[in-house]
Parts: sequence; structure tokens; C-alpha cells
Amino acid sequence: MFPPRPLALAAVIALAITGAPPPAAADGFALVCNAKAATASLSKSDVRALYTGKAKTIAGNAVTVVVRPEDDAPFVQFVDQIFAIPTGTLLSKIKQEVFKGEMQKPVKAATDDEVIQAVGGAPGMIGVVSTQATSHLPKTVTVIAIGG
Amino acid sequence: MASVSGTRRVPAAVALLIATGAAIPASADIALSLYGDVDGGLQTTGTRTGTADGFSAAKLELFTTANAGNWSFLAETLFEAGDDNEFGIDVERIQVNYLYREWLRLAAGRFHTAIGYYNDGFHHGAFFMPGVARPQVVQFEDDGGLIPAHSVGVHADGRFALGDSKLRYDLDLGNGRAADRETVQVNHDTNRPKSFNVRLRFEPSGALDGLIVGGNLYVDGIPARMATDGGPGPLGALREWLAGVHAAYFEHELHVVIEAYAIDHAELDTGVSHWTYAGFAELGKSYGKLLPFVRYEYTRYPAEGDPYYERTAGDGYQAFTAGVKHATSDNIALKAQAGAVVSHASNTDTLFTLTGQIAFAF
Repeated sequence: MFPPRPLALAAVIALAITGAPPPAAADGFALVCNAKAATASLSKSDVRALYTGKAKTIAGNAVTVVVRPEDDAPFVQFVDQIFAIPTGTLLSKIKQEVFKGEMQKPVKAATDDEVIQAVGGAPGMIGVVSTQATSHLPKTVTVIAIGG
Repeated sequence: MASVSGTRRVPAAVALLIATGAAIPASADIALSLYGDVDGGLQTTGTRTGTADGFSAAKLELFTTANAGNWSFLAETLFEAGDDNEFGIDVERIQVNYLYREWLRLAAGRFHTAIGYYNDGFHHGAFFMPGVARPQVVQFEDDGGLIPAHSVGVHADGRFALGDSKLRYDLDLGNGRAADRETVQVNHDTNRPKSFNVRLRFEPSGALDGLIVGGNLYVDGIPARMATDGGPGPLGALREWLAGVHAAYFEHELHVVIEAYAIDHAELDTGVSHWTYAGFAELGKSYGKLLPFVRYEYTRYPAEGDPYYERTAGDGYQAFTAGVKHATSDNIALKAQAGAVVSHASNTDTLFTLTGQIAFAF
């Protein structure tokens, strides 16, 4: 699981104005996969490969990534920390890799619950949820630690 | 614009109903996307007779995918208008894939031959490429390209680890070329020799992560061609060799694709070889939604000409293109480009072009 980063300047300003940090900064993210394809840990490079079609399997199963909206807080943090590119750029890259035939078409999910439901539904699914969501994962979904 | 050959023409409306009707209700797991483009352009040699302009809304593509475990299906169905201003239908890709492990994925059907980067990196939809069209050397068979862009047969690919880096291989075994250079042998092979293609790529890690460096070797037997009324003359059977190298890099806002080819058509009767050399370099850098780019292309046909391409030495050329792509939204890209084509033939005027395009992907 990735903890939240220190508050950025924009978040500090928001905190000063509203008295509360934006929800996006209050939580980190976690990468989850189907329990049938349980993988203890992946390197950042492995995760980048899975989300760009350079790696196609997880525990022998064809990978399908679950993507979230471009402005979704856990997904934005995930893309920023793993890829260091804008979320829209990654989504565009995924679209191109699907067109090339190098990736399966991603499943779209808007909330943690939708991600968990999708990932629990098929062995090759991987997705991103907020850290809070990992406290009530069903047995069909497990967290993957992300190494350096 | 080249005509759509090898195409079974059906009324476009009927074809659209067939394609969408077959795809949508069959299963919720089948995904359908739409690609295409609308173009407008001007080309001139500086004379009244050498000038032409107009608009084109000639391409609509249905891109269909489906997955079931490690099996997957992909089809790219293109409705395209030809020189006769009538739409025809072409199934450009139809693939059934099975993914066994990272080191082995098998595919069967009609697919884009694993040659260079562009051919199976951008496919038919113009949405992802910076220019309004492919470089000429890697254009499709019915658009005057030099490579065998499509193969019908079986394909295998995979990746092996080389330390932290990767080695990717692609193998194609197919029907190969037809006697007519514009035809893809999608139904049957008209000669016994099969085409065989191997592509190897090195994908380094670390500071060079994202770089692709590779090479190709393709061999095929091309059947003899009979003379036709108003068409090309007879031609004996040929052996085709294609060797190519390529490099691509798309990290750090950069867009770099470089490809070079040597293609031999050897006459089996006489042993005479005809070597054509071609290549291009396409360089760009993104600034937010804007991707300005430049492209240089070079093609040199043999002094005695190439009987299969039906090109003489004077048909060789250099082409210069500069343009910009604006990624307006997730679904729309606006493009504008200017180009100049300088022929190798003496006393031939330079051809200047201006083109705009709206490319879509829904």
C-alpha cells in the first residue's frame, strides 16, 4: 500500500481556506488483484509493464486492468507515483495498446466497490483502490505490495 | 487515392447493419469502438493542371474486441471509399489469440505483419499517429506501400528477460503476396511457398526504458503474373526478400520512429535481382496537447526498375513533411500538415501538399 504523500502547496492552500484538506489527499492507494492470481509483490517496473501491455499475464492469467476516472483521487496518485505522467496520458496509452492488440480492453470502475467487484470477478483482473478500502476486502481480492 | 482492391463490395448501409448488428447484442463482453477521419487538402506542382483540392470522408472503422480467459478476439472492419467514390468493406484484421505465457502468444487469422514499428503500431485508425497518413513505404498494399502490410496465417510472439531488459520476438507464417501487389490473399494461397517473417526487438530497461530497437527478415515466393487487358504485363515467379531495421521511442514527451528497408525481387527464371531501398524518420515532441512533428522519407528504386512494384528509377523520391497534431479530447484529434515530394526523375516538378484532418476514436 502506498501512503499519502505530504500535502502539496495546493492542498495546503485548500486547508487554509476551507479548514479541511481535500479528500484526495487524505488517503493513499493500493494495488489489488484476484485472490486466484495472488502475487505477493511487484516492482514498479512490473506494474508499469502490466498497465502498458508489455507484460500480459499475472500468475499465468491474461491481465485485464481496471481503470478509474481521470480525476479519481486514488487512481491519480497511483499514476503519479508509478508512472510519473498525467492520468490522461496513461489512459490514452492504454487505449492505443488495446488498438494495437497488445492489451485487453480495460474495465472501467468509478468507485472502490466497483473496482473490488470487478477484480473479484475474474482471475486476471488488477485494479487500484484507496487505502481505506483494503480494510474490508472480500476473500476473492488481495493486495499486491509494490516494491521499488 | 488508391482504390480498395480485394474487397467484396456490399452496400454500405447493409454492411453497417451487419457489422453492428452482429457485434452489439451477441454478448456484453464484446466491446465495439469507432475510428475514422475526415480530411481536406490541396496539392499542387505550381501549375493549374497540376493542382487538385477537395474533401474526403472516406473511412469508418469498427474495432471489435472480446476476451474469454486467455483467449481473445480482435477485428478491424473498415468501410472505405475508393477512387470510384463508393464505399466498400474490408476486414483489415480478424484475429483469434491465445495467450499461454509471457513468452508465447499465438494468433491466427488476418493480421498486420510484424514488420518495423509503424505497421503493427498504428494500424488503420489515424487517431494515434501524428500525421494524417502513414509514411509511404509502410502504406497498405492498396495504397502503394512497399511492405507486405497484411498477412493471413498464424503468428507467434513473446518476451524473454535479458537481465532487467527484454527481448521480444515475432514470427509470422502466411499466404504471402499475390501476383497482383494490391491483393491480400485472404481466402486461399495461389502458390505453394509461404511467407515467413521474423522480427526481433531489444527493449532496454533503466535510463533507456521505452526504447525499442529491432530488425526484420521476411521471405516469400510470389506467383507468376498473367497479362491482363489494360493491366500490367506478364511476369515470372519471384522470390521476395525484405530486410529492415527500426527504432522507436515515446517516453519523455518524445515521438521518434525510424525505419529502413532493403527489398529484393529476384526473378526465379533468370536469377536477376531488383533491389529497392526505402526508409523514413519521424520526430516529434509533445507540448501539452500539441505534438509538432517532422518526417523525412526516401525511396530509391533500382536503375532497371522493379517489375513487381511496376516502378522505374524515376519514381524514386524524397518527401518532407511538417505538421502538428492537437489532442483535442479523448476522442478527437485535429491535425494539419504541409509536405513536399521531390521526384528523382529529371524535369519533374516538386509536389506540394497541405492537409487537415479530424481523426476520431469513440
